[in-house]
Amino acid sequence: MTDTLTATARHDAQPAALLEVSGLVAGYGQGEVLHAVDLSVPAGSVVAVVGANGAGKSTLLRVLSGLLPAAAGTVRFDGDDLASAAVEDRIRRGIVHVPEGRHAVAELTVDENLRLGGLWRGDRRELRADVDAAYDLFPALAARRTSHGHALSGGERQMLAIARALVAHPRLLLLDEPSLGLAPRIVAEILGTLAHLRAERGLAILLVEQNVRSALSVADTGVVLNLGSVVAARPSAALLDDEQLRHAYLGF
Amino acid sequence: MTTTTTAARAADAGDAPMPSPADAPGPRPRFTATARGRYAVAAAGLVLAIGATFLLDPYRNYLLSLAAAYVCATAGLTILIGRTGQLSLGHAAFMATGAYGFALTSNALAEAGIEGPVLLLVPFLVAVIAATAFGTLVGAAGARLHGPYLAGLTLAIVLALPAVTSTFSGLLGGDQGLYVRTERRPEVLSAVIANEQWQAWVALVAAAIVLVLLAQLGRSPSGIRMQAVRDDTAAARLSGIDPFRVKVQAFAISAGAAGLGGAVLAYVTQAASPGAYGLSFSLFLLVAVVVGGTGTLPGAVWGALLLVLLPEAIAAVTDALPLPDDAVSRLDGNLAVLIFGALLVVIMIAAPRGIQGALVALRGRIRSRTTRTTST
Repeated sequence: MTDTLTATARHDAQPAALLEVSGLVAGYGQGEVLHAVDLSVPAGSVVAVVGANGAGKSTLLRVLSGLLPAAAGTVRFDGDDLASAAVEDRIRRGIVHVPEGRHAVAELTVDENLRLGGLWRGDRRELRADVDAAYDLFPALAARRTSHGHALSGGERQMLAIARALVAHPRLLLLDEPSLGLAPRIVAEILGTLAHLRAERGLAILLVEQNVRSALSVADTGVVLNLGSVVAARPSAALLDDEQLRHAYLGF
Repeated sequence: MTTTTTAARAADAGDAPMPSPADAPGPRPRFTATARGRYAVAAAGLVLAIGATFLLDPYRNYLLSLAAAYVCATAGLTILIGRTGQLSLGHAAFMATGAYGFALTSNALAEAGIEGPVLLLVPFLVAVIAATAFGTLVGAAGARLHGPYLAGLTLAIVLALPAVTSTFSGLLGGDQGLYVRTERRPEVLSAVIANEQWQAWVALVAAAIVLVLLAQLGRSPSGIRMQAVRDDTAAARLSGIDPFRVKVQAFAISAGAAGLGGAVLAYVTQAASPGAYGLSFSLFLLVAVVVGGTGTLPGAVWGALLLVLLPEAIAAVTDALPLPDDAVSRLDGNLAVLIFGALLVVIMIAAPRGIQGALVALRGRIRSRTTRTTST
């Protein structure tokens, strides 16, 4: 893991990426959604996957976390191919997925939801410390620790989903549409917390977003996905400057 | 199949057995109680119940033993339905496994001339192990099935029971079942209490053990895993939980509790026969769980009590009415079924969270009224 956590992480500047995806093919039933996707996420960097609806962004994250099996290709994480590993194995190695839709377990309290994230480690004292650390990161959750999942607001649920993922000790966080349907102020708060984590712990983030501008503003690298293929992978600033690409794939 | 669909809906729709914070102010007692508090409540309840056995005649003590045996099964079933959302119509079969496990072990030990605590405890232990093992198998087979499909699988197991007992009639006694040789009350107590009262003690202790262990499960890591699997499988999987393992575990625990219930029944009635664990009994267990309040342990107790008391109350009423003898005997068998069905419908309309849900809501209303009057 590298200590250079400034926003200049580039493919060529990294010795070996934390996550290296190559030739990844996946889909649902007969329909192939991802066609030979190549992608790399250096340690401690933020990579944003952007693209239109139906480009395969969420499918990509589902394959990376193991929810959806890959039909072909390799998913190298820290040197090991995890393309056919179970979801639990990937979590144990540090790939943690926060899916779209803010999955707060309705009948568990905020505190229990957070503990859920780290139950697999089995060390209760360490788990308690991790949950407390999550409260420090998201003070809004600390105020609601005995509330049930079904009583939370959308913003609180999103924070809870991210905080629960952090309790699992991720090295790579897969974030699906964290800003969807949230007030800009809350989005800024969440993104600020993630930037802090990346600086503090060297957390790498693969971010899927509809909101291209805000995603590229926090990411080092932007990957443009179109109909299941990568059409560009460049530093965020370069992507934003490429007017042709923006018009063609990002719609602004 | 109205019972199945209602229960499935109650379990699936997140129709919380306990009320949401909105309609019940104050903390939910079951979840906030500390482990020590739960032990204290269980111990106090057990002492009270054992004290009550001195006030009851032998027949009523026998009924109390039956209720305690049913509590083991309904508590196990309510955890399965309420926690992991798995519906079982086959809990009578797990009780039967416990009953036959108890009967075979107890008879074998008695044959070998063993008596005393060993003759009492070992058969119970074997019964629980056998039912848990069977529950693990059924759970593994059913973990990928949902709602009616899982219910269908468990239904098939109950329906297969008579075939199993007649196929292995040499061992299991066919339709007649087995007579169970059990350890009677200890010598020192024989002058003080009737054997029925002693049996009630044993049954009550078994029920108390089941209730405490299942309450412990509540918000333990295992309980959190089960709740997560039921409410949001995706969130559970992405938290590193294998839903398959959790569902099988819940089935095993639930079946083990039911097995202990069956063993208590075999101990108290000194018999294990396929007729006692048929489909209608299996459905009664489910109705008891739903009427009591799905997912709650107190609800399981209410349901079990109802299961024992309702037929008694009906018999008392039909005996009191000036009816011809054949009408009485016809009503005794069937009226309980009818009233149970009607009760289920009424409870589902009037109190969808069952008796326990209604009680908790009532307490919340009283509490909010008192706080309002004290604050003004």
